[in-house]
Amino acid sequence: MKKEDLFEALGDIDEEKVKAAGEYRKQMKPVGIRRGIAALCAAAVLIVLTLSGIFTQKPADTADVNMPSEPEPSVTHEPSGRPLEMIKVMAAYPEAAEPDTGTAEFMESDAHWKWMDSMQENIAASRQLQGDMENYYMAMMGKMLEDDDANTVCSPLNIYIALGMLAEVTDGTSRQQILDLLNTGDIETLRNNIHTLWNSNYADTPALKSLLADSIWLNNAYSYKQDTMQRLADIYYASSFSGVPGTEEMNEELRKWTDDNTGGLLHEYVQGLELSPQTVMALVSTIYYKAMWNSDFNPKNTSEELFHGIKGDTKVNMMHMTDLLGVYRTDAFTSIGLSLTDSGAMHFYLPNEGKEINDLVSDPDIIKATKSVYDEHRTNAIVHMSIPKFNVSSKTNLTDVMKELGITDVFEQHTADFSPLSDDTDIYVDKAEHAAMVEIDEHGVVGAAYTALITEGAAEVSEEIDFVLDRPFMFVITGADGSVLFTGIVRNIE
Amino acid sequence: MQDEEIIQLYWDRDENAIYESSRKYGAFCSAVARNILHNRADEQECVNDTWLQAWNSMPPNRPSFLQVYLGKITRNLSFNLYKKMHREKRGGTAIDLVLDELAECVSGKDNPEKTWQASRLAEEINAFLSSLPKERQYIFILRYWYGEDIREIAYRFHMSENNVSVTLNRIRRKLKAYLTERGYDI
Repeated sequence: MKKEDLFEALGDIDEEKVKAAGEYRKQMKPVGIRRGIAALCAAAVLIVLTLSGIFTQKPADTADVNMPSEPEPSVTHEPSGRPLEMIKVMAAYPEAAEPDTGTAEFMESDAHWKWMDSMQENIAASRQLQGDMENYYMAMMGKMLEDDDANTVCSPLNIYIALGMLAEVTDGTSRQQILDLLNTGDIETLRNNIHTLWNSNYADTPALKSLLADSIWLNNAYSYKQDTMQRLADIYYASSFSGVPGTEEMNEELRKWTDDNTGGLLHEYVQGLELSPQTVMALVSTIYYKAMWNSDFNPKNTSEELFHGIKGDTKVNMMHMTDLLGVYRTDAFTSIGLSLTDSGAMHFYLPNEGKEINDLVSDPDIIKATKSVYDEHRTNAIVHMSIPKFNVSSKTNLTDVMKELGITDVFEQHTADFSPLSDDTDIYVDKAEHAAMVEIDEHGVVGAAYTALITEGAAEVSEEIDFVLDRPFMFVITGADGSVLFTGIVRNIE
Repeated sequence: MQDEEIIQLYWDRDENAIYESSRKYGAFCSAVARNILHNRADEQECVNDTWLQAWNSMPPNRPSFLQVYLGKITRNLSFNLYKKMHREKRGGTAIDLVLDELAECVSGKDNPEKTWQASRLAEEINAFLSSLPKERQYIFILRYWYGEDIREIAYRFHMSENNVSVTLNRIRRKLKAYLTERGYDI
């Protein structure tokens, strides 16, 4: 049988089904809290809260809900009676789907269907949020990505979650400033958003790893408010570690946890992590993301070519592929998006001639180009892609970024309001930093569709374009729900 | 005007039937043609021919779902025109993508003896579709009956395009296995 015969036979299927399909529009369910919960990327946010003035020890007078009520009998104490050993309560994350199955086998299995079905409702709910998050994404990109000559990378989703945790431990204008940046009206809405984002972006399958993790690091000399600690555990799946900040043991534990939850990809940055004895609390949020191209690049087509970076030309491994793609063109840039299996897509943006790469970070069309909707900027074309393999990373001092974006009170001891965390009044944010890395290469799976179409002429698509990333470009990696997981500007490739 | 009233106009041989059909379902039929032809003049030609064929087929037919009935005529006309224009060349259009996807379900060989009957095959496909959850049925029909773009389907179902592609791929494979199990040498 020929494919045309099958297409014609399909024309005779049940009219009732055809009618129902044509009229169907998936209805959104209201967003609410639901418990449970080719690119290789990682990001981490560390926010350290410190007590101002001379550090004085206070005895812990209440047991934290995140800690076992009965300390381990082997715990040793320093002369003051303060336990030196760490007490850990690890968050329970969803179990991996089919961890012993190979990627190809998983993709063919019913387990994959089941997993996809389980995600659909979460993803649909999270898509509803994305419109409200655009302002946040744009604000974050504007501050995090602009630079003269260095590569810049960040994870807006990771920072969003970390700031959410910070909002939980603050109140008054300290909290309101955070809510304003996150474009959420109140803390309850933020909690719902975090849950929705978490559930739609957490994935642990043989084909996709999108692992979110949070932790709180407590000074056992202080008491913390139980309901806040419980909320961090419930909503943010935060593991808790209580010990003596400044000790090597706690620093080691902090580095190990961060390393483990970023797949070792931020090891250089993680090695520098440490807490001081004045630390009252540290919040750490991480994301580890590994996804495959839906249509892979053939490594045989990769060749050594020049990349014209800001700091000069370098030789890079340029990957090549030709495909029929949606192309998004504005006066400022040309963009294409490559699908990532079971996730969203990686969008690449090349500034048009005469446009500066830094101009793109504040261009609202950047986010529009990631959306699955038609507008006047989008056309289909046969695209001859040349995309360099790269590995870029950056570390950013979030303190300045947060202040510029209106979060100022938490940094000043006389304005910071950490009353949901503790009754101590002199707590303020001492340090906030973010590190992220993104690496891409050829690997992917053989695409189900679109791979074999441009073999004989492609007569009806009038346009063919070359999309050559041999000069500074921007990228955005989205999740299945449209969340901006990672974004960056590649100005140089070493 | 209600569908029953429009159908009655056809039966009464009242030419307003064509005006009312065009008014109510012209845009829909144009969209069906557009998904296959991607050319405004060809699209218009098929839609105009749809009214003529509807006029010639009612009576004796009295369709249960006028919209689908008309859409099906447009689909057939558009596909016939597509085949006529594309005997010598292929590739690149959106409907070519649809056909290439369907090629995974069939041998691609000419089968002059036609060991299958189109109407019987459609019944088997109906049975197969009925075994799928509703949303998967709809995704399949939107892609292979309506020829709708994957991006549009993704938007309609709040899914990523990638998930739509993977879902379609899985359904195609299941369909092929289903038909093969039932003795269809396709």
